[in-house]
Amino acid sequence: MGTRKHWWMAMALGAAVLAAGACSRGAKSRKLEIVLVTKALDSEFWQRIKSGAEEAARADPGVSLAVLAPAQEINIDQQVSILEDQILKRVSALAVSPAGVAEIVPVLDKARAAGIPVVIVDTDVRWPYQTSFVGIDNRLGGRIAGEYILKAIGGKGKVAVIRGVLGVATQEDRLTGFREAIANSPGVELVAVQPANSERALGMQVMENMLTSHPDVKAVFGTNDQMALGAKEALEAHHLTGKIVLVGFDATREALRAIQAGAMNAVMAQYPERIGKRAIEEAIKAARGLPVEKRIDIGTALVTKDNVSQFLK
Amino acid sequence: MSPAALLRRFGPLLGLLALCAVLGTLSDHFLTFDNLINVFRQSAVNALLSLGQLVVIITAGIDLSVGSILGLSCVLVALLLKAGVPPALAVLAALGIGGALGSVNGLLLTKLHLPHPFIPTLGMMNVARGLALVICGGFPISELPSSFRFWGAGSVGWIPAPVIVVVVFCVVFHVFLTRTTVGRDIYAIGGNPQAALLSGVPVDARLILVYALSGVTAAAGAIVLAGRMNSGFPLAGMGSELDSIAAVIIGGASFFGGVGTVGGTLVGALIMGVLRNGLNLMNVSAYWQTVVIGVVIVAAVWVDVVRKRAAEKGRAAVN
Amino acid sequence: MKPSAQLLELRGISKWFSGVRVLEGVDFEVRAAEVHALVGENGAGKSTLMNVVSGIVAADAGQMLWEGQPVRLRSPREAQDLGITFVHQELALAPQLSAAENIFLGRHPAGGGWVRWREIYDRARELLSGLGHTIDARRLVADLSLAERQLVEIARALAFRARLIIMDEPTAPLAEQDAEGLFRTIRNLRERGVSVIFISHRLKEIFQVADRVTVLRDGKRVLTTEVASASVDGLVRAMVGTELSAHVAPEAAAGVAGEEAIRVEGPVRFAVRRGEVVGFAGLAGAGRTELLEWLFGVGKQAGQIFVNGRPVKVRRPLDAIRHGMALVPDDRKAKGLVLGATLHQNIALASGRRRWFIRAARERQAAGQLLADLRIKAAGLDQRVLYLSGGNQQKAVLAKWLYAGARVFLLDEPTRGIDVRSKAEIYDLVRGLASRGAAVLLASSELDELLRLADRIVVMHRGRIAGELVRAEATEERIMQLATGGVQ
Repeated sequence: MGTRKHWWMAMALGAAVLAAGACSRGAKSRKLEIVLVTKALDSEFWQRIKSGAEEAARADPGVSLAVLAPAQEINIDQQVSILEDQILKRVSALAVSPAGVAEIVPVLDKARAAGIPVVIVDTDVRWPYQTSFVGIDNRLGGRIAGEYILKAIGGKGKVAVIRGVLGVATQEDRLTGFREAIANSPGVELVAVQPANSERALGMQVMENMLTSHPDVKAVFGTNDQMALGAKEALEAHHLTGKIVLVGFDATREALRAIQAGAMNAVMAQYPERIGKRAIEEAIKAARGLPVEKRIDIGTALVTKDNVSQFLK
Repeated sequence: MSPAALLRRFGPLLGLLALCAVLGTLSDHFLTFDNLINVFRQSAVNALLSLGQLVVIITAGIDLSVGSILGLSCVLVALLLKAGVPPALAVLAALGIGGALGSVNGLLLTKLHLPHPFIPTLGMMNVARGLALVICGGFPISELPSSFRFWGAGSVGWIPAPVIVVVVFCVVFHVFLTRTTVGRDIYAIGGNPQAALLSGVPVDARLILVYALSGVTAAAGAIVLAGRMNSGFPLAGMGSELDSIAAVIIGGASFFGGVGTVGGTLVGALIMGVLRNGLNLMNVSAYWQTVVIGVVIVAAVWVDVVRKRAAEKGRAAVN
Repeated sequence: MKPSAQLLELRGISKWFSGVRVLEGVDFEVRAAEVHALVGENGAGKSTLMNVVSGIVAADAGQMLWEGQPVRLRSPREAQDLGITFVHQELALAPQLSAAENIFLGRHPAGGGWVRWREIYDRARELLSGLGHTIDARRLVADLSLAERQLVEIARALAFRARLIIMDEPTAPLAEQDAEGLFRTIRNLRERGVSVIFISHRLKEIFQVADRVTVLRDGKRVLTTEVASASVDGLVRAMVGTELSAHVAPEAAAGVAGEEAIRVEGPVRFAVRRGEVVGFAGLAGAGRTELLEWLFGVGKQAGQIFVNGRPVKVRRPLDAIRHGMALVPDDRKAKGLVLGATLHQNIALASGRRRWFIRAARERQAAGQLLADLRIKAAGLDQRVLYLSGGNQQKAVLAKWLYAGARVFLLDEPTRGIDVRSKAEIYDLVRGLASRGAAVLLASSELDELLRLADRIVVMHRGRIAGELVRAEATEERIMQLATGGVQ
């Protein structure tokens, strides 16, 4: 019957293609191939990481750089496939910002087995073999934000957090740092920790709900700028701008302008270009067999109305 | 067989061959032994989902919940393993859970008389994904036993274990659809449900079975994916329902039901896997990949339409 | 206006459809303020004639005069503009809109792009109450009864200033008291000077409501008369044709009937023995299809089924098949066959459900034999039934049941839309089934077919059995009398 023929043809095809493949392993180019795989490329943060990385690659004529990412941060398996394909090409070095910190580990093992150095970017993983980690100390950032809020509300009152997707390490770390900062102030009560998936619209919705359930909340910490800006919209709609302390994280241009205008109080600044640049520099070093630093903290800074003009340049 | 009939049967396969040839010339890495094995492994999860989706689409239905059932099964199997359940038992339990969730789809469709399979499976898509997130609090459950990881990451000789799983499922589904009376009933339901009912086909029972099978293949996909990633994670299979539908349609099945083969579907899944892999090797961004796959879906169906119209014309000329 | 003025005149209207003449030189007149009944058997040409009048199809020959002026209609819209409205059997209303919106659908009174809702509701209320009924114009059509929906259609016709309303079997789906209400509405229309063409199979109704009646037969007008001077018998004779009424098939004398195969008790009661062909006659909507489908486990109806003398429960078709029943449905494409599948797959579909694996070789051998036995013309067992002729498709349905080993055959319009040769072959097959001991229930709208094949004829009227005629006493007139609800 015809269907059986179908199978035979499929098998014949498979065999032919494999045979062809076996005889044609390609030769490598002489340039160093460095590949940066981010979680996504759909926000200002990742685009700035990308431009920093490209700056580093331009500085070295012996390097070619590709920046790849799954379509969305949630497509973890797509990111794994991209990495597998790059490992197969035996690229010189990888820089990876993992979309899933546990899910990524098996493919990192494959990179190691193939002898490819891996620099972890922005989001740390529990994997002892990483060549280097380039990012910020999110926990410290969270703690600084917490301390700022503590001072701004005079050490007592209700506070709330709008956080990103559960299970993402950077988000967890910022929250942990924040909790540490307020732990020793009995006057401060953390009344709500609500997820808003790092989205602006959800951030606004969550803020509105909080204003209903906790009308006496004094300060809100959004663990990224998108959610904080959503909360800003909600406060504006309720004419509460400036009456509730609002702190974000990332220092996007929009958030900085909001601080300048007095619609937000502070953000924790990251330097994404520096992160991207440094990650690629370390990856190049590793590819050339030069020594690298195990852990590179790019650092964060608290931005308030006082110093915002520096960051807005 | 006439040339036209040959073209129809092997159209998707010819498309796959042509695609391989093109990608082979564009990328030195594509036609290597390692990479082709790699493609097979990467296509395994979609191939499994597509088999279940195929059976559903043959009945003129659609299953939007396969990605979410995969996610929920992925989390549950990891929880079972963490609770110390032996891997073999956990695998069976996951398949059972997937089948049960799928049969809920079928029951909602047939017993509540919901107007279209779109509705119950859209509901299940949200419910299962939500439960997956709730159960594990959003965190992945990692560090699974190595005997379980075999199904996703292991291999026998140079053949990856996921490929073996896919081949076994393909053979079983092929025999089921073409050699059993139940398989014939399923094609009849898709061709004309009214005539099938009046010929004694227990339509409701068959539909429930069909959606249960789709749940089982989703769970099989979950086992492979969890093994591959060494973790049960709640976001597993996000959006993969659409990939599975695309593979089935590229493989020559019809949304109107009654038509579709396991071989075609497998080829459809491979076409998608090969495309993604080839574009990755050429460092094409994920956004452009999405565009290309969209074009391929429409083109595949359009070729089918053109071919059919030509066949009709040929027939009219003979008569 | 003179009371006897002709509103509409048709002169010598002819129409061919794909080489078949369906209307042949038909003359037809409707006076102003007249209720004119139009009757005839299925296929006599009533619908085609009315489609010509309402501009849906163009006549191939003949002339149409409207108030004495020749007119040529190119679309239903032009007919509407003249004042001719067709109220179809399947009402053409939008169920999710209100009665008022439906009445003015497509012609909302509007000013400057805005719909004037108040005016719409006021005028709709006026129109409906003018017809002597109280329907809330704001209710959704989906929530209205059938009779109320007809009223909305009529009001819609009046909103378009209709002078002539065509009603195609408006009473077929109605209960008796609703039909009475409709008659009152029709008389009301006549008093306002609106003419009505009233198509009905129920001859009694004509005497209740019509002024004149025209009979069509085989595309020709055979009679137009004042109702006052007509009789049911006379109309039936005119519909059937006297030369046909003498014809009682002498062929295929009744086989020797054996034991009872199937019996039904309840509101409908009858029994069929082995080797017997029992015909089921009745007008469209008399309940024949519903009866056969109920026997086969589809749809609900009161009654108890006995197979071989034992009471059985038939909840779904699979149960019926297990009791040896087979249904050849009225619409073979929609209900009888999987058109995209092959002959082999269709023939095997009703069998072998008790085993897991298909025994392909055995099936193909048996199906091939059936192909030869039934003289099914096909390229082979793997030909898709979509491409077979109507006659061969119907034979494929029968082959499916022969392969399944059925012993009680429920045939619903088995020769509808089939060429003459296949028809004769199917007649032979049916008699052959009976002579080999099968029980056959044959529902058909073609009286000729029933008279030729059936040993007995059960006549149905509005879901009930109106009477039963044995072969010797059955004539077309008697059947039509019973079927139209006339006195026996």
